Amino acid sequence: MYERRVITKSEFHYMRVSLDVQNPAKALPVELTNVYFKQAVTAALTRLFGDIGGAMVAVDVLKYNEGDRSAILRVHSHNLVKLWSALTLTDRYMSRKCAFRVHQVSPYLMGLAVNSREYEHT
Amino acid sequence: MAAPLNFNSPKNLLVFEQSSFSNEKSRHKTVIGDHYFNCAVEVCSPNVAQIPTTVTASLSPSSYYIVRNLPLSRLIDKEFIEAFVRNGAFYAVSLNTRIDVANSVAVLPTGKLVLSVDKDMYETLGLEGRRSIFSQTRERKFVIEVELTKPSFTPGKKNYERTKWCFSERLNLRFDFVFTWVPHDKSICSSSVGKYFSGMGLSVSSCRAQMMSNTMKDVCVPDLLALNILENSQDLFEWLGAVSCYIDSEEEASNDFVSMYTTPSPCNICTQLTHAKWQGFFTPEAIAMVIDEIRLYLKTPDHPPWASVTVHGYADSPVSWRGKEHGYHQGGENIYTYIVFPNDNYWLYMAVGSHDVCP
Amino acid sequence: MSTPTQDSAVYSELPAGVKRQATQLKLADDVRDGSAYLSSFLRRHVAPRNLATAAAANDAHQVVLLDTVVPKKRPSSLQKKGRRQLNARERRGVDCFAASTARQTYRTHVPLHTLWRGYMRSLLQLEPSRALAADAQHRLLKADYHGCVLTVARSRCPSLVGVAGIVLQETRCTWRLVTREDRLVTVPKATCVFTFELEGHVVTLYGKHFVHRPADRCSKKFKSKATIDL
Repeated sequence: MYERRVITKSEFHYMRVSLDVQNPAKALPVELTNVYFKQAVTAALTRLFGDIGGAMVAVDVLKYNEGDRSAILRVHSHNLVKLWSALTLTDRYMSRKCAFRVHQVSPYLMGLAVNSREYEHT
Repeated sequence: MAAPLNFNSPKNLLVFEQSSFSNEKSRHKTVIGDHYFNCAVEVCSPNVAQIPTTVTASLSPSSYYIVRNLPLSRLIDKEFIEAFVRNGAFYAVSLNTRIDVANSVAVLPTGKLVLSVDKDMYETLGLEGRRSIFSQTRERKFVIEVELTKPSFTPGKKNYERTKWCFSERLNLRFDFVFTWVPHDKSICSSSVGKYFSGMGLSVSSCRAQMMSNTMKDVCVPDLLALNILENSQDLFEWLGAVSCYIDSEEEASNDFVSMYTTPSPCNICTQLTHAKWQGFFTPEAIAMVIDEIRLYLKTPDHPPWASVTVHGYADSPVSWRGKEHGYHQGGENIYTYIVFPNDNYWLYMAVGSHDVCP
Repeated sequence: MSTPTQDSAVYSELPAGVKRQATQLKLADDVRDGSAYLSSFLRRHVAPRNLATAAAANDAHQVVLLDTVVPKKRPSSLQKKGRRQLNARERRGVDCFAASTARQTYRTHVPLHTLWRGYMRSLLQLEPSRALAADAQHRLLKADYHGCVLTVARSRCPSLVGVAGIVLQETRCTWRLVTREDRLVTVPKATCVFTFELEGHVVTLYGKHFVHRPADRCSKKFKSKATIDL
């Protein structure tokens, strides 16, 4: 009955990121829906790694919130470093100055459900 | 042609266990009891309109306290040790101290004071410790442990006086703590620690766990009985995470360009899936009570097929399970999830990040 | 009497005066004859195994060294001085400079400390309520610390933190202090940061800068260290 398995390498990594746009009052030319958000991530990857290198990194936008332009991304563990570096080095999207902020990174989606660092005790 | 770039992500550990509460060798009591600092509890169950009130009742009244600028020398006062550390389980962990960049302190219910300090602090403080197992090559972090309940740790003894001198005269270390106390003697009120600290002129505030509840209608829920769990344990854990993060797979999956995520198959459409989350500071006793209530609830008529209880540990606590060292690195996650079935069987996930030992 | 074959002094005739007195000088006939003398000389002085080569060389008019050259024995310096010195291990064993561990009390060294205070005050030209002079750092690096009350403020070894005492001895890598509890403590310099107090000034010394033989330290040019990390 008793069974124990230890999985040392998780298949995916998950990131909670948000896109900060300079001067939010002057909005982007398009409304940033999840499709455009995904496009922004892909653009960041191709800019750093080229068309082929960028296309090899498969990213899933699991959840997207248009209000604060935050999202939960899923990426294969071996591509995590590539994605993270591409997001960090992004400085503009659609010729607007912007930056991706990485809030949380975890090998488990469950890890993004709670952030004990940002929780306000009341 | 250049060699392909190969970047490895840090290692992590996901332990899956399958056992039964009725199994006498089952370790569920130690898994819960040895995980001291819990910041969130989540309960999830299909086919129920709301989380049973017995579960809510066992979590909600647990109030805890926050004390601001508590000098560490107050924690080693003989009076304090005799009154609280010896006569109950005192849980305290420093607040707003990021363990990867700063110093972090915790008092374990076993009567051990654990400090995870950086190199500068270690060299200045003057208390003997050991190097952190996660910074062996670059010595950046050190762990100092002080046994508060040892009979020799008493005024007049060399070790006690040295510790006292280090905490009061050497460096006047002050931290914000979130703490709670479970007395052995049930007739004593657990708020007396708060009174003791506020009597010293420290600012103590009482806090309560916050609850968030969410019911999803007509969602795709994996059929746990038909699932080959040993093969798909990672997929199920991912799905549980998706529920906790309120990811609506139906909506997001509508567009293949955005996301390729799908609910693990085989899955059924359930009329409703209820998920509740409490955040705050929970003792292992409270968690054990929740598990017991869930087990009782699953034995009532028209019970749901299963229920899951997920417990998140503090990412910045210096210890995780059994007082073993814990670090942050990427996310500092120390999470465990019980999936409980009506026949007393359970599936247990224990997930830790790269700076943690195997639970 | 053979005729000389070559124009050389060896083969030339003996002077007439010598010839006249030949019988009185007991010169043998073969002496007077050069080649006969040479062959008898060789027979007497050269080892038989070298004789053949010597004879051949003689025929070919070559120069041959017939002696085995033994290098001159140089008298060793020790022998020259005529007085035996201790080797390193023996010197260590004697340890004549070590402050004896027993019977060192803080109290007996307080006068030394008072003396040192006066010395340091004059060295730094200290006046209360005035900042240290600009060149005080250089003077501190070259100063003598025997008698100073040093306190360990930081250390790689946490047990040493807080140790304080009067400096009794300085070696290249350590300071020996006698503490208020009359304990003699050896503190490594390189992994500690020290402080001392004088006239209301608290001076911090990074031990890493002091890792020199005390005698050298006063004359050595200070080299800045890449890092003051312990």
